[in-house]
Amino acid sequence: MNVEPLPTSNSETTWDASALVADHQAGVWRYLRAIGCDATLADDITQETFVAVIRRPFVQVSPSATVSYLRRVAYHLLVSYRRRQKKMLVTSELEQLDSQWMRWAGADGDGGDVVDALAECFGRLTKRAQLSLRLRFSENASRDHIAAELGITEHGAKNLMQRAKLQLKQCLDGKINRE
Amino acid sequence: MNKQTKGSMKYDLDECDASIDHMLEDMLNSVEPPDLKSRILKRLEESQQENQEHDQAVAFAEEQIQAGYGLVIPPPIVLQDASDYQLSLWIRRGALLVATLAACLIAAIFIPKSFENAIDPDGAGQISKIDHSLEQNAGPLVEVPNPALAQNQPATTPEQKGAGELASTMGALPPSDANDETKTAGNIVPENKSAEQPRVATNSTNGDVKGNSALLNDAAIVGIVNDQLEHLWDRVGVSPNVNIQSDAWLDRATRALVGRTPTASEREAFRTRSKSDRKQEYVRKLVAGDEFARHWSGVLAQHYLGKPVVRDSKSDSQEQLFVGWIESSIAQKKSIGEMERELITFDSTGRQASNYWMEEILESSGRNQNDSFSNIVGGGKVADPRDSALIGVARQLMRISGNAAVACSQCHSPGESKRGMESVMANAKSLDTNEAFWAVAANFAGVSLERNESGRSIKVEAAKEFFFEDKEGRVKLVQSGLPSAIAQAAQGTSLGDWSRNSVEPRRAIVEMAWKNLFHQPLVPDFGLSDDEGLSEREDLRDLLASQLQLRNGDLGTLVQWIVLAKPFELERVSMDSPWYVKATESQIAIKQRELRLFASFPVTSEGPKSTNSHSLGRIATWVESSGSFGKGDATLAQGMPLKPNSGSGKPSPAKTEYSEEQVRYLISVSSPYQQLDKLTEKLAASSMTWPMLLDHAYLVAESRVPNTKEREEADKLLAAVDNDRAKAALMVINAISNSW
Repeated sequence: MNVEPLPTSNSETTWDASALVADHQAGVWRYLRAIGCDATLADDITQETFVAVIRRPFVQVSPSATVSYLRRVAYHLLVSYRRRQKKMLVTSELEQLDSQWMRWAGADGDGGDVVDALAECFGRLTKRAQLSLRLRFSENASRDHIAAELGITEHGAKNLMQRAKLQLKQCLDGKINRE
Repeated sequence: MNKQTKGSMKYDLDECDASIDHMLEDMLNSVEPPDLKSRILKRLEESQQENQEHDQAVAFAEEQIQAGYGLVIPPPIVLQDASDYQLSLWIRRGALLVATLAACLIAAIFIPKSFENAIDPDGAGQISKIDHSLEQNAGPLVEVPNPALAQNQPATTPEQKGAGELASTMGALPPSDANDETKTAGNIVPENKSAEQPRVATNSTNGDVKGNSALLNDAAIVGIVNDQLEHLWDRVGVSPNVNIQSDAWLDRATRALVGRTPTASEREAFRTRSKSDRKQEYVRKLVAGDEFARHWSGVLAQHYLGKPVVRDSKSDSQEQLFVGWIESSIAQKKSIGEMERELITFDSTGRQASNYWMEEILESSGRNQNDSFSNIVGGGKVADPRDSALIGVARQLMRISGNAAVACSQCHSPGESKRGMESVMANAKSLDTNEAFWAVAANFAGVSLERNESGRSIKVEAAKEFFFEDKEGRVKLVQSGLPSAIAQAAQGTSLGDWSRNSVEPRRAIVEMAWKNLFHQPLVPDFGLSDDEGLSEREDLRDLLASQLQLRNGDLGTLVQWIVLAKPFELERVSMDSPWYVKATESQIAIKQRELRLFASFPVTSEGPKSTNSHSLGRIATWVESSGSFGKGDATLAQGMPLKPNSGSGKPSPAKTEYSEEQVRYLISVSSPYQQLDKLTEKLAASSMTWPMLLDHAYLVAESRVPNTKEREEADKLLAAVDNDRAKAALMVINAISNSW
């Protein structure tokens, strides 16, 4: 993995590793979750991201530059990890997820606002849509179980969840655009 | 990722969209980004150290090569015409390879010896194995005793050993201020703590702690407790509260051990001692005194009887004689296993106590024999109504002996519960029935008959015929047996021997002591998810139970381990009534989580009972006196009526008379363990009668059925919320699990 350190300049500010981690770990972790890491992998890659960044000559030019740099390192670490695991990697998907997160969280956001916005958008879904997603993501229910709970076919449950997620995505996009 | 389906509907989302899926998963399961700061900084430090070592090794190898001492490896043909830079690179790589091989060789020779040297300082010849073979990020694996071995070969009894010798086995307890010393005694801090790996290995099949028996010394046990909890906090992203000052610790420990504040002379003696060992010396001294036995006899009596008991040495009632027997047993340093054997087998020393105990259980079971739970509709029940009381006896013994899952199998099939039942049924070798519970009840049929006939000793008659009705109403025959004995085909094993030699009853004692000290169960019967440290907490309980069993330890030994552990030193959580009123939901939720994970000390364990702990009756009173304000408020303070300003300072809230809305608010934000929430919903939605629902609520939260007064209070609460069972059930579970 090749990661270029940020260029140095006279306007560089001093920093310490502890503060860097404290300020940005949540943002990196959420970013990694958003581009497809499970929670454990997100923990590990967040750790390795900061280790990689701190070990190299690094200067803070601006908050947004730091966020962007950390995301870039994390992105490359994930790609390297997937390659080491010999997992099929469709980088266009990853890039799409990456740009989507950029759009939602902004250049220097830590994703906290996105989570809040998602919660608000979730509340706007119909009760049935909310229930289907709760069953799926909170109770890890199978599609046929969700279908049985809602009294619909399995295909219907799939469509319902797809529509709900689409609405969430559109809602998030709408909120971001308004802001 | 765009996808178009057949028909008119178009979706630009696949069913699996990582962003939305993961964000939803985190949001719905309340997952927050973990605090990885300490982990990252530690890894960074290690990484820097590795770099230094690597550079030193390369420099050394280069020097050797330049001096003509090292191996000179000719460059491969392709590099023979290479530049100086490429040659230099080849030399460096060759040197590194040689250095690495040498390091591996040295490690292969010396590391096995260092394992052999990790012999327990007690001289028991056991080895505490620290397994470094786990992958990176994995914690050490500490093998701890196998309860099965303890069952076959019980440790020396206190009588054989002598009280003085037993006390000496406490050995060098770790100075809690000096964790390094603790860690060298039997556990090693992992280089990088795992996100998944429990610190103490257990057998995943039956929940027993695996491996050969290893008697750990006290320092090692306290060290492992600390290490395990630190690992848990790290994994779930909770930061422990700060440590308290030594004076505050002294107050806390004295109150916990003997139920009073320290005297002036005790304070002075503590202050003048060396910091390295004063805590363990102080604890040892208090545990050895009579006050400890008096204070903890009431606690233990409540555990055995399932009802609060106040010690009154002047009274000669049967109840007080029972507590007196417990007190003298604790004072004599009698092992818990031996005490329970005496209690069950009616031998000469404990006969009076055991008579009272058995009669109490039989009486309470008989009293409840017509209640909904004993003859539950849809669940199993006794085929002969005369045996109804046995249900209560079996249930009571299974619960106080740490076999709650067996007690539940009276009504529930193993498939209904994912946790615990598999191991029970594996032990019982049952296929798909709830026979585990009835096998125990069958034992009691033998017990009671034997006792009635001889009036002297209890021994279980093997293979006594006992019938019960299953869920479909079919009468089934079950052989008598006990949870851990059934697997060995030793049906009819004496109850007393089973209790003394099994590790399960020790688990219950660990749970009892832990809950008494921290006001939170170590491993609740239900409700604990992996986010709340299910695996770590189960492993911790198994470690303490098996060490207690292996040592044939007394209550004082166990209490010392817990009091000297890290959570006991943490600052208490600041959640008094004024704080509650001002706090937001998220602040309360964070504090509650810290409390449940022992990262803060509970307020209720110090001083007079806190004002934020309320009886069901008091909650019902609040709800009855409800107002209509406060809807949708962010904090309680915003919903509270204010007193007219008296002229000076800010207006203060009116007397603490919460509205129904406010009480609901309090309860809603103080969510108990995640699965307990779900259980409450399930209970409320079920077709159970209210008394039966109440039984379940108390069984899961307190491992007992409610008494008459508690039933009355719960009924009052139900009426106060307009017979809304869901609300009432949630309030009951929150109130009795003391989680707010």
